[in-house]
Amino acid sequence: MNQSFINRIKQDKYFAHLNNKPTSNGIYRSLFVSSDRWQYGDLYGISFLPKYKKKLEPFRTYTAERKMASNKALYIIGDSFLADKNINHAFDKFDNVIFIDRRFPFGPINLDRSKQNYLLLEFAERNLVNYNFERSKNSNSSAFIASGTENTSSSNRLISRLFNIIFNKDLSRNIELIIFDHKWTTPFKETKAYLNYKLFNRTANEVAVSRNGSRLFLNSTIDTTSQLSSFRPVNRLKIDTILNSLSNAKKYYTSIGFKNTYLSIIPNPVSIFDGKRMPYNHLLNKIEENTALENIKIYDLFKSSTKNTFYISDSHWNPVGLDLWIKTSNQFFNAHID
Amino acid sequence: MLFNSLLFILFFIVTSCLYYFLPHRFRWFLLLITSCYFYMYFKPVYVLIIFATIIIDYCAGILIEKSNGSKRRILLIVSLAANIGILAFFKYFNFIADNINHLLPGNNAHNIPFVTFILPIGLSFHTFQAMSYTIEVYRGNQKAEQHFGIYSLYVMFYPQMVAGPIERPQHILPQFHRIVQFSKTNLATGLLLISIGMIKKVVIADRLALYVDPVFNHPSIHSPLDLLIAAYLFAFQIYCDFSGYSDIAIGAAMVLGIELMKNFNAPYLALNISDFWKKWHISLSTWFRDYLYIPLGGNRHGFLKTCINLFVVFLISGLWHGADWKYVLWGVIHGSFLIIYQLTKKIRVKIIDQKLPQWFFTFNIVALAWIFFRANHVNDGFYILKKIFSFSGWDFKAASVMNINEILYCILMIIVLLVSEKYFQIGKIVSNHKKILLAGGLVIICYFLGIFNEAQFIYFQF
Repeated sequence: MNQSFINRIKQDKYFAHLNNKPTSNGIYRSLFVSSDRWQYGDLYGISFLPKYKKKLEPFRTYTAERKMASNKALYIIGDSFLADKNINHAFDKFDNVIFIDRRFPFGPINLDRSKQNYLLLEFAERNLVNYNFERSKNSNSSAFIASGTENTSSSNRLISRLFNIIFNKDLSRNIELIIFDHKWTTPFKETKAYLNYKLFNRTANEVAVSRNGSRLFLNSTIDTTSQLSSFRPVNRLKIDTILNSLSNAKKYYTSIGFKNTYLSIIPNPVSIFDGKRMPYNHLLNKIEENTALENIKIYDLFKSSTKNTFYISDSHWNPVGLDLWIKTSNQFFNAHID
Repeated sequence: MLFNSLLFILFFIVTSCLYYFLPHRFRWFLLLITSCYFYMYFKPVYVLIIFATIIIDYCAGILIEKSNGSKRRILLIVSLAANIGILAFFKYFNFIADNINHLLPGNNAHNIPFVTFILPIGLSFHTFQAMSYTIEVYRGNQKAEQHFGIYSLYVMFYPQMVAGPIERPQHILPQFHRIVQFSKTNLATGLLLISIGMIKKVVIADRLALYVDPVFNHPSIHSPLDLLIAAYLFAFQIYCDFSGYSDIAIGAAMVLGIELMKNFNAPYLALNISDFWKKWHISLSTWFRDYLYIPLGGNRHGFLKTCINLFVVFLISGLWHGADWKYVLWGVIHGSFLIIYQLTKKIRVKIIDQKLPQWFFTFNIVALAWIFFRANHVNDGFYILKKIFSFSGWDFKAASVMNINEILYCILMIIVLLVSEKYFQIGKIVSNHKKILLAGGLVIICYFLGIFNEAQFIYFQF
């Protein structure tokens, strides 16, 4: 099974519910793309617990045209919370926003020298724990170089490609993706999930149900054996490592031409809605209070908000959460940038 | 490739269909190619190790048949040494080095360095199967196989190459030569066996693992009751895991018209330890009986020699399972049980002649011996035993690992398993339609109640 074909199916499935206009032909869509895995949230798509099958509300597009050019650009190095969001004109102070997805190698950043460039480092709380600037910088550049040279040498060899296809460790998962990741299988998956939850209080390993049963969380943000847990105690060394990484990042980005670097940490949903489940480690607050970077603090705001700021069946915020963040960030930039 | 994966289901369907589509003369080739793929899916390069032993044993078989006297004996020794050498290097080198390093005085400078590689999967199984071939040729019970492809298939036949049953050449080689016609009975019985094996693996064994693994991995934070439950559940986990594998292997081979030997026969219904070993991992027990116990003298040279032979066989059997003292100890425990059984054979009948206490006693000593098999370390095994027999703190602390409902469900499944083993026999179902219907029902249960985390079979590591 050709991995690039599989990747295309995965990508099309992921974006299918976001695209109003189908970009591919009908047979391909009905054979490979039709799926309930994403449109009801990533956590529903893993657990298939029918109680949480709620369609995700779409995000609005922040397209308000600016009256006057500010000659400032905002770069955001972020994660899935801001990926695929239309925030190009979301901020008063910036003519445009350039989003760089940290999850993939992105190579050197080419700045528009005619503008004043600002950088925002956006982290989900769960992604901040393992942040190591030097390591991510090195792996980012080496992966980028490797991907650029990949097509010209060894991978073109027939045997190597053949081995990669027939001995691919993901073959079972790929078969499942093609044969069983379809809408017609949803009732079976939901019945299985319902039975196992009702009888044994078990869900898929990656998912946990909140104590009041109102929402789903990513289990790795709860389970204290996971580094990403909001409840795993963090020691001083860990905090210092993250703080040093952030300081080094700021120094580096300043050296390549950014006027200033800011930080914004988005709390794990469990920290907001089920923070008393176990003793909360307050990593987020400890970093925000001690970092040398000016930062956009939203934890208290989200904690005190009476509105629902995160999807109940997804590990990310909903349009209300994003709106709140945009509003707070806008106020922050207006106050901090001339 | 794992039996409990979607890839295997697809692989099995394609292989079986092609097998009956092809004329007989090409079938060995299809099975050999597909078996290579099945094995190479774990790690492609390790197929070279198997081919090295195949070439050695194939040549040895032909040469042994043509020779006689001391030359015949030397050829056998060369073949066995090659097989045992490969097994010893890949499986026991680090174990031996580690133990020698512990015994060596002084600094680390003179330590034997470890080798770093992953143990080739199922190495002990196919090595033993290969050894049985040359021994049988040497003994004159089996003609040397002239067809290199068929001999390769004897070692590599995919249903049983990584975890048995460990076959004998007299039983399986003629079947590869025989022209197999498609049979509805074979298909229905094979599919039923596969579905029973799947139930044992994904519905019972992998569910039990959800409790057993965390408790055995952290014995210090669990109460004696938690540990005792884990010990009993592990007894059934390993049984369902391994016998489930054997059922799938036997079923998959049966669909192809190849009959494999029975590997389990309701071992937990055994009434004594000797009976248990006649019902548990039969293909290995009989291998040790035929190729080690009897050549050592068996029970022909008096009581003391019989006990020594039993002890040696079980010591080696323990070591066969893994390069770790815990397996050696497990083997020693079973060897000791069998010696005690021999010693008390006459007086015991007078004390307990009821079946229920006999069964209860046998099952419990087997379950307690499993503690060493499953513990992460010999010391952990002693710690768990000591804690259980401290009889202190009989509160259930493992509710976060598995709730009471699920434990009760596990117990129910185990009771259903034991009852069905006692009263249900596939052979009694005559109608193929009934077999298919039953298999279908079991597949549905598998889907809704099974754990699909592609957990590897426990015996693959051996």
